[in-house]
Amino acid sequence: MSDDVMQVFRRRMMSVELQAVRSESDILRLSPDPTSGSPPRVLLGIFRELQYMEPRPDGAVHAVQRPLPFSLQLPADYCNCTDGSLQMRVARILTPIAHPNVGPGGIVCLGPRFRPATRLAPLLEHLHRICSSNLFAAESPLNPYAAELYRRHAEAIKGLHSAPLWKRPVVDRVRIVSAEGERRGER
Amino acid sequence: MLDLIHARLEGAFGRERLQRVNRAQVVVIGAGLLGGQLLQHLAMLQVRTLIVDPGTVEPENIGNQGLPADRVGEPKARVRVSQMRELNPSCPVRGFEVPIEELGLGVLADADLILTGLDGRASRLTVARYAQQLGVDWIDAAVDGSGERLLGTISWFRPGVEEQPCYGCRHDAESLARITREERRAPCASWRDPRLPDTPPTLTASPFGALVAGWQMTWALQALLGEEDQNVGHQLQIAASGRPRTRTVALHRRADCLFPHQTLGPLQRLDGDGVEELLVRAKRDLGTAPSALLFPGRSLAVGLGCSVCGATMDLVKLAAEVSDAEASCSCSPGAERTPVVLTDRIEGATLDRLRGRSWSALGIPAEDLVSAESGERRIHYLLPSRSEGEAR
Repeated sequence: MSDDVMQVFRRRMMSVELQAVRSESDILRLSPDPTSGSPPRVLLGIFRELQYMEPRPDGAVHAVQRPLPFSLQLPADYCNCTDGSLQMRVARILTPIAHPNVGPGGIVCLGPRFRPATRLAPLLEHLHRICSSNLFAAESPLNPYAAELYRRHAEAIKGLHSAPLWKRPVVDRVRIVSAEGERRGER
Repeated sequence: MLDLIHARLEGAFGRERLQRVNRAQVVVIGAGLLGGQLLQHLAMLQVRTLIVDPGTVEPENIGNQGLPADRVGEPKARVRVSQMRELNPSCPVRGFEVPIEELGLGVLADADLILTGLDGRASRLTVARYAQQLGVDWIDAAVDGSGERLLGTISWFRPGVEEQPCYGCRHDAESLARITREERRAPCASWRDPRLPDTPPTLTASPFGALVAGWQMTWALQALLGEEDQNVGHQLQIAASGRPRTRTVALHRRADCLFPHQTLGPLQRLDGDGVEELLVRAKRDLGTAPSALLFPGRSLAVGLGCSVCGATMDLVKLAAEVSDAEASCSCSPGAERTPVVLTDRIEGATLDRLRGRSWSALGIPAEDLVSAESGERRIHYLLPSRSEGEAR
């Protein structure tokens, strides 16, 4: 009973919002994990085309272009967490990646710009910016080794190029949000 | 002497009403300027009291919080306990020297009323969650801490009632994010301690603190006596600079409030400290083995991995309790381990691995809330008490 807020939020995210983001992106594959409750608590996704930094077994790091699998989970306090832990309990990358804000096990720190109750479209956009190395914070890293690397090769890493997440430019994309009947005035 | 105190109180309250006050249990969270004043009244009224404050007596507290100068450096909760005992040796009082975030919910489970005098919005949101989960009345007092204006508020929340406003009702996602974002020190929160840094000390002088706390105590007595509830869901605003003004406004229930407005319902207390005992009990209560255990408001690290050598280490522990030794890897100097997964939910194979472990070994606070889930069903348990962390 105690998480009615989350039930409503999850139901909407797993239906209306999920459909909207699927139709708005060419590079995204996203489906709810049916074993994670009803409505599902976990989404499994793949960015089908992405340039990211991959660690090699010998310790070197190189840029690769290949699909990147990830999972998103919505904890019970997704809408109202009041400390910084939520940043690290939502997204996981399911393949080795070298990034200052991704831990060795794949947990992603979404950083202070991420806020509770973030909708699916901005959440995906935020994660996409992190994975494609457009967004990283080398201070307070989950992976200090990658942080040092990103600091040293900032120019090369900025040069990575990934396909855009959305089919249409950002201004049009506000429709994804308004598909759920909110924030209509924004267009 | 005590008989005399009681005779006077009986004169003021009447025997039956005084007994009602004496039987009640009150939790005071924050034992500074406002809390110190409340505790004095609670001691005299002989109300069973729990004090929660993680702080120590600092030199700057001496001038305005009524703390003795010879006890600088001692935990505030401990000093307040002895102050209350001096005022009234027969007043039952216990102190907890931990932040409210680290206190198990069960410590507050028998409370009839929560009173707060805190200096941060984030810790108030934690109190709001606990009050909501338990369905206990909560009266919060706040003073403008800048020392520039004499402004104070007192707000009375009744969380058990669905249509009542909660403390979170004033926040939308944006303003909630501002609380956790503005006060944060680093771009990524620390996984071992994601809490917000301490707020600067309150600069309000003691007379105004006494005024606000006195009014808060008046509302507290209304709550304990259960005779008046016209102030429930209301906020009293006090401006004492210049010509004093007060007004009482109704707080509003936000229809799309981000916080749950239901209580947890009945909470089952557990006896043993073992995970196995909870699993057995939950299987009996649910009619089937639980598929997951939930730790609301807690972050558990499951597995630790080194970012340099990539080696992983098997571990399940409250993230805040992971030691420096566990968090560093021997492969190279300065190599750090970080969690493979950080979660408030343990299920599947990880859950099986916890059998045979104890809650204290997992770093879960005494009397903490753990919920067992099977499908859509949830049963809430309170872990047993331990004596650590309590002021003597």
